[in-house]
Amino acid sequence: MGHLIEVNDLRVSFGATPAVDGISFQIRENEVLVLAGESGSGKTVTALALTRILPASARIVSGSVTFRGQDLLALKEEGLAQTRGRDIAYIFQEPASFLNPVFTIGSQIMEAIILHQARTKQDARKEALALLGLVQIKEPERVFASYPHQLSGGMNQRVFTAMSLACRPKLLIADEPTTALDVTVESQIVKLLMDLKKTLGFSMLFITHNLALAKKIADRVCVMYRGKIVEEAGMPALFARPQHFHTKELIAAYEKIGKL
Amino acid sequence: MILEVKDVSKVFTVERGFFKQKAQAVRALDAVSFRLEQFRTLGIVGESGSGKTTLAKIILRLVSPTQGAVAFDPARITDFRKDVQIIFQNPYNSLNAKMRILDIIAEPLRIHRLVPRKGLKEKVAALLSMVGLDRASMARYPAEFSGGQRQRICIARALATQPKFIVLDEPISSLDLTIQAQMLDLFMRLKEECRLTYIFISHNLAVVKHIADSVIVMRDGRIVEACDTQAIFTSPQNDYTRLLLEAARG
Repeated sequence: MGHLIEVNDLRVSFGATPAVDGISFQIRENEVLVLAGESGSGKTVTALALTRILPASARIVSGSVTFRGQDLLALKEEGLAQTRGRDIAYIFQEPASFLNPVFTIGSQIMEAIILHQARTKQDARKEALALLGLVQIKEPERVFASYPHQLSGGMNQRVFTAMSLACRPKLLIADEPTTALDVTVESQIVKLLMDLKKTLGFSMLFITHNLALAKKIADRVCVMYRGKIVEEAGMPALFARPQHFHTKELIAAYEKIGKL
Repeated sequence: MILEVKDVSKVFTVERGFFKQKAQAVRALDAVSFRLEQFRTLGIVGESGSGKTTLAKIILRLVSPTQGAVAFDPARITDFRKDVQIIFQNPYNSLNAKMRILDIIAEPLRIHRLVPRKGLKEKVAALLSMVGLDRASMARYPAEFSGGQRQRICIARALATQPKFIVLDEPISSLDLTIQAQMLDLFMRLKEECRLTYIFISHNLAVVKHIADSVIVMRDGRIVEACDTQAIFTSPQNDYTRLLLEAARG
């Protein structure tokens, strides 16, 4: 059917509290699906459940995540480790907190390459520099030798993106990747992701509370509210004919302060 | 006029090396001047590193300027720490996690001896209701609240001393867009109810447009543009302002 990933009736609970309450969606090859909703609506839990990197207090109650014919939720941990990071990669909100402060940027990107692709150090170094160029960093050599604290938030997000793309994933899961950034930097990063998608060809699950971003990048949007997908629509249609009251709330907030 | 900032500069010295022998000067603010009338809202816009927060700290006398002066009208601001308040960006680390909401909001009341002890609970309840939280919140701890609710608690605490002037340093940037819209409405309502003067710091022009009467745009420690809010959107003079406008328009 051309679906890269198919999520069926996914349920995740923290103790007795359901965080994700029976959601289903599919993402096609080369498609950008936006999960939109407020904090606490279950967007991030959904993203983490796809490759089972949830916190220990969370439990996947039921459901399936079919990725290239395999159910990731039924897979053994060793099998999943192959997919996670290689075929499905993530970028998160605060890149600096996912980068190791005591290693250089270069060595951290090389680690990702060596781990998944069994390449020599020299080879990995070349590849890391190429990746830094790919994410449009102007002085790859300098950044390669820098530590995360020496770079700005936007730069760190570029580095994080380079690392995530090291293994040419089929699916990039971007969880509020620009929320901690200035608006000018935000638009640069969004543009970068779209450029990369065009050159590398991957699908994207993009999570945000801000419909302004959905408008820029989404092919389709799923609106989440209290653990459920309450509305799903193609991109111009969502704004033209919102059905659910929460979608209307999100649009009203966007109209008010999401744009000029 | 309630506030005059005159020719304020701030130079930070960054020490480097093992024995801190190499000192490097960073000019965070460079000859910043502006005036603010009472009951108005001044928006300060700029990217990270433009000097917005340093300016806020100097206005609040938390940091002293290297050069220049900040003067409040002594007829209007009589007791500085009581009359001038701040609300910070991150409500997750500006509330003491080990204190109940009652004690958090009552602390300024106690310090400034504004309310007799018997009346504390009633006063706190009244402050909570002003920011849209119920009385039962008093007995709870910060961790039990969402980001938006915590920011409301910070506002209630700031209002406790009946301030005349509040500096809002990116007060909604860490919140969801829907909550941001609600908070903006709250700030505007409180400004009327409590007859406040605001400095509203933000990196987002779309937000400033709603709340500010006039705007200054900062870059690298300097004011690059200063004018009425309307004018900045209709006829921006500076290239950098245009860049910010473009980013906000998407």
